[in-house]
Amino acid sequence: MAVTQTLPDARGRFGDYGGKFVPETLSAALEDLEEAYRAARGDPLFQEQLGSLLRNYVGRPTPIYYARRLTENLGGGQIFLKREDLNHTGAHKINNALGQGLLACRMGKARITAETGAGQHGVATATAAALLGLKCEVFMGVHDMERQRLNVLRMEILGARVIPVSQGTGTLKDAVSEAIRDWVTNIETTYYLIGSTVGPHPYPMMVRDFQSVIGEEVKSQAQALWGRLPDYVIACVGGGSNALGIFAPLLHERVNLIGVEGGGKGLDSREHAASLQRGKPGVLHGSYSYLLQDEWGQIQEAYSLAAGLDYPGVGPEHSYLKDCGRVTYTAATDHEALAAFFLLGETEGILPALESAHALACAFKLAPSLSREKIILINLSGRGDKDVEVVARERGKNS
Amino acid sequence: MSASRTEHFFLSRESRSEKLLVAYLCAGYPDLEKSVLWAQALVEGGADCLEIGVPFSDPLADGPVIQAASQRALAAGVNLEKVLGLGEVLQEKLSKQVPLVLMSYLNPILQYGMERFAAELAPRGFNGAIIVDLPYEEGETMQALLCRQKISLVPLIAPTTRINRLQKIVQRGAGFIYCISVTGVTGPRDTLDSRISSLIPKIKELTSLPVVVGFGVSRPEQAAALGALADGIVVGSAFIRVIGSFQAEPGRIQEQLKGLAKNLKKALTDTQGNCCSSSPVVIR
Repeated sequence: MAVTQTLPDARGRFGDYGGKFVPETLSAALEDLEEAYRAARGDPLFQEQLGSLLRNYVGRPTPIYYARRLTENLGGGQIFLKREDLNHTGAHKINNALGQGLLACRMGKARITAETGAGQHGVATATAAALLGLKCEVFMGVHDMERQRLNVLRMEILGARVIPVSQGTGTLKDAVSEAIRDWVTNIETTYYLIGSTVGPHPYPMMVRDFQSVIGEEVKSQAQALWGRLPDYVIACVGGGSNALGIFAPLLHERVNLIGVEGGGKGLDSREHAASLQRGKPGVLHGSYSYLLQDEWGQIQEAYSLAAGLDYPGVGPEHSYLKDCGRVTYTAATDHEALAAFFLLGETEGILPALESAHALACAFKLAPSLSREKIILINLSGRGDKDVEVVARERGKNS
Repeated sequence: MSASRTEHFFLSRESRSEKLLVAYLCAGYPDLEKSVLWAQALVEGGADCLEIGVPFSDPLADGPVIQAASQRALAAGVNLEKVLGLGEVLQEKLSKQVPLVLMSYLNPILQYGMERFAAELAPRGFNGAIIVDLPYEEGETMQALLCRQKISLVPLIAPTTRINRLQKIVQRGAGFIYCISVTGVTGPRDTLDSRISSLIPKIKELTSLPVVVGFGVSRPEQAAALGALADGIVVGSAFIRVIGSFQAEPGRIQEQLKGLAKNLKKALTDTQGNCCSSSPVVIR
């Protein structure tokens, strides 16, 4: 099947998806951003700056780890983990936050803003801002602030201001809306640092590019480790940045790619975050993509125990990859993700982020059906320290 | 629907002697029956055109006042179909016919179906549409569909819009040109962006369509200052605020809306002929 390498097109479209559906006030800013990004991408000095930070500050390349006890426990295919949880700040989000942070400096912006759900992107942005000497304000839903308290404290300690968003459902969707309203208002002084492959063009392209370092590393590490590419690569999908980061460089290779959405309380309940599997295409936050919405086009509340998956939309490139069949999308429920969270902790001594635990849950179902020589690589996008309170509460409920 | 109404809407700037007061209402706030009463009061107060807002769950370009009104309308079960129905009722009930412009975010229209939407506006009494998150480069299909039905797609211009883009937008525009007064979301403000005093003449040079200014406009002094520069103003949040603050005495809302519309219209009219751009005290 053909996936062209040149996507998005000049209009910021991945097939029908993507685009720039924004109020007029933002149009000029998006043009400037695209121009600045294209210039930076082609500038060896920028690439060297970013590369050096990724090596010496973030700790890249992240290792690929063979989960031997887990593999033996499950039986079947061999399970490997791409350890994005070992990055500075504990998740893949820092790859993008530093890339865009450097871009903000290039563009002469003194203030950066961000939205955050689980708080990992907020922490990564606050970190980049501290490092680069920029003022940082992070929009976060009140509901998320409560369930990710630890990350709120981290952001504040790093010198960022966390702005509570109580509108709507008080989750990631509302934080994005509020961040966009702020950007419309402070457009001259502010760089809006989006944390996922969502929003108007050029954001989905730019965030994918900054995260592609994950998949590029996989390609070279795979040669050294196995002399070939893995058979399966699995990643969780909220907005979809860790998934595209590992998928994008592998789209033209013979690798099965699987994206796992937040199944919440089940896809047949109304409480899930499976935009690709249960949504319909529409426009939210500047791009055309699959959305959870009612018959009148009003956006519906998403639900997942993992705050980072709790978003009613998804990156437009994922919508394209779903329609053309290159990536298989599935879901894991809260319950399955929690089981995976514990199993990885008990067998390997690694606490995964609840978001990443969705990818693990999918792999745990798949592995026993495969023969021993098959290689499954999971993008372990973040660490689970931030989730221990939520997990403890859930365990209390179920015991 | 009378042909004269369509003509009225498309009158060019030169043939119009009066400054325009465009009044925004969030349809169904707090319910659709009340919206009819509010519309009547605004028209009696002197509104020349009504902008009927379709409530949306995620209104990116709106401030707290319209966000709250939209949430309330959605909770009351308002949807695009019902807002189109409101157009029909207004066509019948308004004491004086004024052009109706439907204002919406794109997604409700996409789910309704763009062709179906375009085909239903005129029969339901609407003369134009404003789609907040459909900028020039994404708007071609919609514009063609609406044009076929003789419905104007009213374009938005912002203080940040650059000149080459401005030319393209204005060229394709119809009905009137909606010039955003501030970089920001909707809602009353004390000061407006100084760039609009140079932006408005630039737009006027490019088109004979009326140029009206909205976002942040709430007070008669602002109306007077903008009346000297532009062909009219759009006022929204100020009316919605009136509706919100007299909820305990709904009888007074009509009176208050009519009074505010009258004051704004008077301030606009008093600036007739006073076309110097150096006066506006409220422009930062």
